[in-house]
Amino acid sequence: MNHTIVVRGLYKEYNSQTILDNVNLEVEKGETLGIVGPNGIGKTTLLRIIAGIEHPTRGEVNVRGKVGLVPQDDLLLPWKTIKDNIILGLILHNTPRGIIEEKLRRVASLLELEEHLSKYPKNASGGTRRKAAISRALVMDTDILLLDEPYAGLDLKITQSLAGVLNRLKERGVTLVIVSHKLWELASNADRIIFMNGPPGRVDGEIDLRGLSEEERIARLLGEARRYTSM
Amino acid sequence: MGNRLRDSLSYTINFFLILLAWQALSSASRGILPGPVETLQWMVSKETLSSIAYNTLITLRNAVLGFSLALILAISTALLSRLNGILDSVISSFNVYVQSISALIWILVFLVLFGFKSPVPPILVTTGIAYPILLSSLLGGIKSVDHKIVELAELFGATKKQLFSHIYIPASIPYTIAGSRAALGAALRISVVAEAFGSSGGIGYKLTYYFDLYNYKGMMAWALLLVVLMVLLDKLVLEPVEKWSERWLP
Ligand SMILES: Nc1ncnc2c1ncn2[C@@H]1O[C@H](COP(=O)(O)OP(=O)(O)OP(=O)(O)O)[C@@H](O)[C@H]1O
Ligand SMILES: [Mg+2]
Repeated sequence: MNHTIVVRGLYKEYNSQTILDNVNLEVEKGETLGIVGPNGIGKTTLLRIIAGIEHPTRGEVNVRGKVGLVPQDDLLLPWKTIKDNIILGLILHNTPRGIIEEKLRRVASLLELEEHLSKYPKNASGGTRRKAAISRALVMDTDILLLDEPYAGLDLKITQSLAGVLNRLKERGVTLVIVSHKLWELASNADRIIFMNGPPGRVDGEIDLRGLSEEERIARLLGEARRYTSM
Repeated sequence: MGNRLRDSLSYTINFFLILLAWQALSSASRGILPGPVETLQWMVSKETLSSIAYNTLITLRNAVLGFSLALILAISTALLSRLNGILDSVISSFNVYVQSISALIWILVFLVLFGFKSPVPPILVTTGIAYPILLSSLLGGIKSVDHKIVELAELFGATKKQLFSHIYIPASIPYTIAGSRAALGAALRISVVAEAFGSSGGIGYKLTYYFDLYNYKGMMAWALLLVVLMVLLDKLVLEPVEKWSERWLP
């Protein structure tokens, strides 16, 4: 099988409290997986484990390809401008100036960040900071992009343009894992959506949207939304 | 009222309050301690501008050199503390010891080592006092870094060296500058004490020189000079630099 992410029998404990309880999931290359679940169920923890930042207490995590992460709390460096935050990864890799400028220009226009580039994070709006955190991952051209609530705090227009950006990444074969509270935010992107529940966090249901027409997708999501009324 | 105006006003009011208290003290001592007016008169008529400039510069030199040495040492120590957990706790407890060495101990030890005529003791004493202040603020700055930011940088492939140059050092800058303001103030205060013990010049030297001659007008003149110098340095140099550095804070 052509899986880029395989998680098997994953357990995670913090201070001997079980946070993730036997999580299993597989993501194919180029697939977009949505993860939905209530607050504190372990979605962020799962992404951090997949990214390799956090280690599982037990279980197997296999990831093939270069991973990028858009963290839930943007984690911008307060002493760098929005621009310098976006190009952080490129600078760390000693990318040539010309390439940096080119990538920055492209991502800034994609997310409509041009006029905010010289601001410091504390002088930028929450939405701008969010877009900067997303851009910082986008410029790295990763094979796998993990997004922790990318739409939180973005207005409708930017949400739609970001969904468009993610669709284009998907067309280019990038594997996406998108965490969200809201099912409808995943409607235009996801091939599959898994539901987490608990505590402790476990996978509790999945919908497969692959090969469905737009109407069928919506009907399917509406049906699921009724089951998971809290979302 | 503007903040600036209110600020200058408070400084002016306090200046006159201190002069008033000084005058009261002088009257209470029935003139043994000279008041502000006599002191100023003495300074204008008896002290030369070149002597004021020369001794002020010596004190500033002692404080700045001592402080700079302390800064270099503190930065090196702080970087060292990041290398591993054992070093980190060794350095933290080391700093508690250094903090506990009083200025008098430093002064006496360096006088024994270098002699009374040497210009070195005031400088090194200043280093000894400024160093733990700087080190505490640097360590505080490093600890203030959100661990998740470090993890993210590592995910981006940051090397240990890059973590220092892109994360730890910039994160420490506002703390270091705030610490420097305190440390440089302490450096000046301690430098003059050390000068008083030696005979190599400086404001502290002049203070005790006139004290020993029972010339209390001279003593008070130099005391006034020292206080004014410290206030000006803090208001005109250190405070603006600290304000500027605050933009590095989250
Ligand atoms: N470093 C940590 N130490 C201890 N407990 C932690 C740590 N990180 C997360 N937790 C706990 O793990 C649980 C899951 O947290 P996580 O952030 O993964 O949830 P989440 O699903 O992302 O929530 P949200 O929707 O609010 O973002 C929470 O109970 C949290 O308190
Ligand atoms: Mg989360």
